[in-house]
Amino acid sequence: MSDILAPLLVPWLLGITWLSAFGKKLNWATIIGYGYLLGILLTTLLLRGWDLTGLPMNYSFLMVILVVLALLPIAYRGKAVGSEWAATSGYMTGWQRSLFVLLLAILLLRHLTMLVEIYWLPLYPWDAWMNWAPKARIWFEHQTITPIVRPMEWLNQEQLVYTLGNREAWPYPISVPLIQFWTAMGLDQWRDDWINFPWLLCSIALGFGFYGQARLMSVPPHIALLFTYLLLSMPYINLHTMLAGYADLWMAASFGFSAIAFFNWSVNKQPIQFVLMTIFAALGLGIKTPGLLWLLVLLPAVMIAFLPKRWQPATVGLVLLATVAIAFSGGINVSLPYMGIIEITPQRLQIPGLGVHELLFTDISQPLLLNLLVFSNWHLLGFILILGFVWLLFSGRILRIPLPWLILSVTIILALFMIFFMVPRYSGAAIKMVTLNRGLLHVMPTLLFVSMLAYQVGTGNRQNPTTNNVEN
Amino acid sequence: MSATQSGEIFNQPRHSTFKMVVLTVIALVLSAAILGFGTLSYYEQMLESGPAQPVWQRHDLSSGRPTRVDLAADSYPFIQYQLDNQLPGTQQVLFWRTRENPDQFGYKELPPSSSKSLLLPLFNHPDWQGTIKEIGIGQYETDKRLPHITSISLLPYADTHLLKGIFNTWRSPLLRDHKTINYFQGVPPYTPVFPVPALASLTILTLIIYWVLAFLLRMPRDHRLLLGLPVLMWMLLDARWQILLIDQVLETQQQYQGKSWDEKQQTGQDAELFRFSEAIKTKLPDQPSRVFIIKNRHIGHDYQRVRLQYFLLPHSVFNFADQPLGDKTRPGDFLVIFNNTRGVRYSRYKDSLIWPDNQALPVRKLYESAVGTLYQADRPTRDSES
Repeated sequence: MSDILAPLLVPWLLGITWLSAFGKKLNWATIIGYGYLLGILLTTLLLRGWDLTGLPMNYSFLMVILVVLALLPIAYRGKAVGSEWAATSGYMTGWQRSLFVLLLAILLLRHLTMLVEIYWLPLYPWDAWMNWAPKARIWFEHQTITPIVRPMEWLNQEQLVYTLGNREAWPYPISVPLIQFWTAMGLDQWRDDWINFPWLLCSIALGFGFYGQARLMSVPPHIALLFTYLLLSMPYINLHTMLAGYADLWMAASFGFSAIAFFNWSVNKQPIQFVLMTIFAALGLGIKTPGLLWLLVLLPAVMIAFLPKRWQPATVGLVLLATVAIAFSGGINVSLPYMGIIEITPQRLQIPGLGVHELLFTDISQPLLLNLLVFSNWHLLGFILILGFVWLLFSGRILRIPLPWLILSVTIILALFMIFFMVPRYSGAAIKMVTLNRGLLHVMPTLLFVSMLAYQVGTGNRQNPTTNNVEN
Repeated sequence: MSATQSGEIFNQPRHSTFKMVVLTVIALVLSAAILGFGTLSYYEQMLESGPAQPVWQRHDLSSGRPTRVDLAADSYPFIQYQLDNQLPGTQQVLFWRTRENPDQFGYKELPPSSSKSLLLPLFNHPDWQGTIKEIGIGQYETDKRLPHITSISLLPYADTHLLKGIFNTWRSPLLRDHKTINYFQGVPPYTPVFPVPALASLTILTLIIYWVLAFLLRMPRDHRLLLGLPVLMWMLLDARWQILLIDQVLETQQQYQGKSWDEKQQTGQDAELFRFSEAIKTKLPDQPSRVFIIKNRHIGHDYQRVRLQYFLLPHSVFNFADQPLGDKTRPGDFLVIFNNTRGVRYSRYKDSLIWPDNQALPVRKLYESAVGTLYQADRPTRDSES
């Protein structure tokens, strides 16, 4: 069991040291949170790179490389980790401090509970042992990233190849099974229960990153932790942590970290935030196919954020007019060199990497409302978001929210609408409640973070996240 | 706009926190009373029909066997039961048949009663209607020891039964299954009142009453409540969720503590399939080999066959055939055929698998069990008539 610590902690150390070295304006919580995700995903890149050499995996040697990489920034900068972290202490009144401690205690209890469940429960959810973990198992056996092929190719290949029980899963991105493969190598045995510990760390890292970025945006500590608690206490997020093995939690964390860094960069314009936004958007491509969708969703807001503030509303207006004009003229159909066809019309959606989808409106409002407002997936989040939006809209406070934040929120909601209401394959799955919450999970950290910022801006709090004001 | 200007509403002098709390508590109590009495009135009107019926009760019944009864489902909207010696990882179920639909059983999954008496509502179940002719308690895992039914009662409507029933459904364990990763209903199916909309209604009504009271008493409205009250309700829901999680962990601990990975697989719901896969693997070479899993086609994914594919790793499995692929099967390949697969049969006389169109594949039978049979392909495919 002690063998589990090294494969879990060394990638974390890697991320921490590199972010500490190059992210001077980051605080300790952000570095810890972003550091884990960065470190473990960089580890998967190391495995891919190693595999290109044709040599079988050598866990000890790879571990040495990781340790050396982790120590490099310290050696280069000659400073201890943490010596340049931005301060995050904030003043809290008595009741605020009590609330802070209470929320921390609840989160600690929650994660301890999930830790125990992960320790005992063998790999449980269906897709986990149909689509994701089998790749890790195969690679562990062969100590190389053996290609997984489509079923027809399996039948025709002379040498031994592998395919999966789901015809569509063979080309899925491989970062998540690589994480399981890495953990199994550390354990030096295949245990489909213990290879899931990284899911717990993903949840913890998500919490740290969320909290840290909130503090960097001058959100008071008790409010930052409150919203972190709201995020990490939602049953659906806990279920994806302890019924581990799906890639959706990682997708949520990766896109969440990218979008949260965007929120910060769009007002404070710190280069490190832009770098984090870009890195995590790119790393998301290796987690799940929707990683490309979420990267595209981010782009309009990023482009608007590049513009001076006074130009933003007019540009958005022009883009909206252009969109309407294109829609009325039947959409767009362009062929891009090396990329393929991009077709966006009322009948069809084709984007390279995301496939071709015929569009047909299907009303999935009933399962959507059931899952958001009746079932226990998200506690009271659905009601809070609706009430909060109504309050912001009717009080006019929505106009105080920076335009890039609104753009990103709108593009996320539009993307969800397109996927679940317009693409028949996903509408059908949503009606059966198979993919609906998993799609929502991808954007929950982002939506909750922007809700927190909207609350801060809307309540006219002194510590306004739209100012360049790192709380000390 | 400066922060001070923009926050003018929130920087107005606030009445003391004490007054806000008192007003909130009053609003909360009023809301709870309104919603509570409203719910009771609604269900009383719906469920209380005719004169009061006596409680139907039996003790020390045999699990798995139905008991004959003659009861109107409408008159008995609640069940109370006590089971002892329930094995962890098993799912007990109430089953019944009605006079109107004698060929079909109605089912309701029962949370473990943990050696106490547990009361649950039945009235929301779509099959609990008409005249009940048979009733019993069994469990899905028929190969495992059945619990002892200490008592089972059917109860008429009473306000206390409704409140107890709602509380018990909210307190029901997780009932983790393969749908849980897609959505979490949070309460058993056919629960009359869901906790999330219940507490959301309480929150919204409390906020409305608070605002009205503050207006009538000419007190400034404290906007901290807009976030504070939903968060408080959230924490109540979350406390419930934490309790459910602890219960789940304790059950998982009971089921798996002290077991190796192999022993854990032998304990779970797929134990028989796992044992089958382990037995097959003893007949396969040590190095990964090609294996065909053959079973009749199924709409969507077939749980049994994809699960077996996982258990057979690291052998390389092709899992999409409903009959042998003669031209794609090489000498030395292995075939696992589930016993309920139609259209393929083994001819001991010809030592071959035979399927429609007179196709035959020479094989050796290596292993047979109640789940399926393992074969190894011999010589190349030939027409079965030659």
